[in-house]
Amino acid sequence: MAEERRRLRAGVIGTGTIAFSAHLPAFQKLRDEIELVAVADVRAEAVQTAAEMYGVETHYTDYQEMLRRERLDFVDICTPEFLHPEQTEAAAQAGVHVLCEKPMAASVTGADRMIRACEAAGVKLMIAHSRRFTGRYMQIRAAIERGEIGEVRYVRENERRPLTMYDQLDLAATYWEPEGGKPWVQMAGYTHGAAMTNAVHETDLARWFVGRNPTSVYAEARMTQADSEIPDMLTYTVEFEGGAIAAAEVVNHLPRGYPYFHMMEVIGTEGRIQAIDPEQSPSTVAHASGMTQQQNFPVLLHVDEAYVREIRAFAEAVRNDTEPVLSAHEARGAIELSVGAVLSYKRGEPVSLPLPEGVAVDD
Amino acid sequence: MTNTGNWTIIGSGDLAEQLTKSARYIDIPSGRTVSTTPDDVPNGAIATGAALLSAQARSAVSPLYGFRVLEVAAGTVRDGDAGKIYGFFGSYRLERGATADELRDQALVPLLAYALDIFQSSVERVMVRRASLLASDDAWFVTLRLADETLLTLEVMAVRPSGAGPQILVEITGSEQVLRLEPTRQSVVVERTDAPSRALPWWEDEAERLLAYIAARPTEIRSAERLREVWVAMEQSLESGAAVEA
Repeated sequence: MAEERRRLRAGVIGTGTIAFSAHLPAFQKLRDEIELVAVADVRAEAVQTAAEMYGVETHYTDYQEMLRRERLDFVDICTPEFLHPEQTEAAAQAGVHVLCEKPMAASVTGADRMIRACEAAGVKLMIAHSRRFTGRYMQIRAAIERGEIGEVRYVRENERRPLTMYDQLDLAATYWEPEGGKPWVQMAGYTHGAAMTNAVHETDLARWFVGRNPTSVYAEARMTQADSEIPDMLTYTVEFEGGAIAAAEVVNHLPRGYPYFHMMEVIGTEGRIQAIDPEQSPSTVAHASGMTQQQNFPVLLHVDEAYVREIRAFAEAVRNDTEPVLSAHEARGAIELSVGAVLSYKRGEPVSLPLPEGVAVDD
Repeated sequence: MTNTGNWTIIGSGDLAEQLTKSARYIDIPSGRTVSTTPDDVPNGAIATGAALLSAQARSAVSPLYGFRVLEVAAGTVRDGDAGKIYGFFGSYRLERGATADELRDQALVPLLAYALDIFQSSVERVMVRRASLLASDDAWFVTLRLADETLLTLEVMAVRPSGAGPQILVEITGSEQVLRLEPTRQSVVVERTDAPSRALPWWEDEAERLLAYIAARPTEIRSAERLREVWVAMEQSLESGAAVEA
């Protein structure tokens, strides 16, 4: 008879948009393997709701207290990126392994702090780049590895989101509003905007598919919303060692009714891989005013499965004491590229990579 | 030079040949000269094709107006139906093996001319990067920032398989509408058991459509000068490897 596997004890820090839309539902599906024993958020109401909805025994408004009191195997950090370094350091010092939502940090320096803290404490660190665990992108990577398109020379992903993307999910709690009235994702003091919140997916995928280091990036950005303090639209071009190119156009606030849209293309010396959302909807409905294709992101990207795979992969690394499938250094590379893009649009010039040590976005 | 009805078509390339064939179907009340070669654009002629950058041209029309969907989209944006425009993404692919000059003349300049024709705000900054993806100088990546903050992203590359024909994609993002236009997408697909499937295009006669558009377009529109100015800035960016304030 096979030995029963011990359920790992996990805690979640941050019960906002990404926790409610992705991580908490994934933990529920993984309950036979992982026990979500506690959740923490500075917002008492949000964390209580999370605990009640997902049957979590204990909740905290101070994550440090959670780290002290609970005997956690790992913590899943779902807070804004500027908080990730200090929270990772605290978890590492408590001897708790760290799974952390992307983007890894707001700066390369912050990413380095996280890596150093976890290496020093001997705990594992993995950044939750969900697209590495999404069927579409796993298929693309597998086709590249099989050599089906030869050497990768070009990667593009245009990603566009509607104003109502998360509204449509009817989440119990959404973005933290640190100063009241405005979510942190629109505030200059809390994030660098589209280059981090979602283009870090594209910078990570580009590095993953090209398999080489970037040498320069040029970006332009703008704000589309009058009340926004940070760019929510970005277009960039990256050059890699060997001359491969990656590019993306990312926009976050398109008209209500617009789908969550991705157009991914990889061109190699021997062929091309393409995946476009509108052409891949499994559902088209004809009605009096036209035709509608179902294009919300659970349908198209099956993100629920991605988050389950991602958390399970990290849990297996913890359980078996193996290296996580996505190294923190890889995630640091995506941050460096995103930070390079921010520096580029702020300076109005191409930026060479790797970035000088210690460079900050405001330099 | 060929005269067909009131049309005078200058040039001897594919585009001139197609326009000449189509000219008999498009009536125009008075004489109109269309030049498709850069070296010989007479006064009053409308430049198209490779002639878009001719120093003599006053009015330039992108050959992309040969596609009805792109003409409609341009009108939608100009009329304000798409709301405040955030960005324009244009991609034009030719078959592998196209020369650097063909890529510039047949894809990049027409795409640029089309974008500049839609967006009248002045160009603030330009960044151009040329790349060698599958062959020498077979790709261009252009980013333009307009004074009204609209971001234009253009990519042209010679990456299509042999026989696949060109591929054009335009995406325009606005506060009220997002337009995605693929004029070359229409095709019939042939699947065989002994070979990969093939898509056989059957899109409209763009030469005829282009002449109809030119016939309806006022000749006093001075679009060529602006196109040349932006092109000069693009060349400066390419040469210096830096973004250029235009």
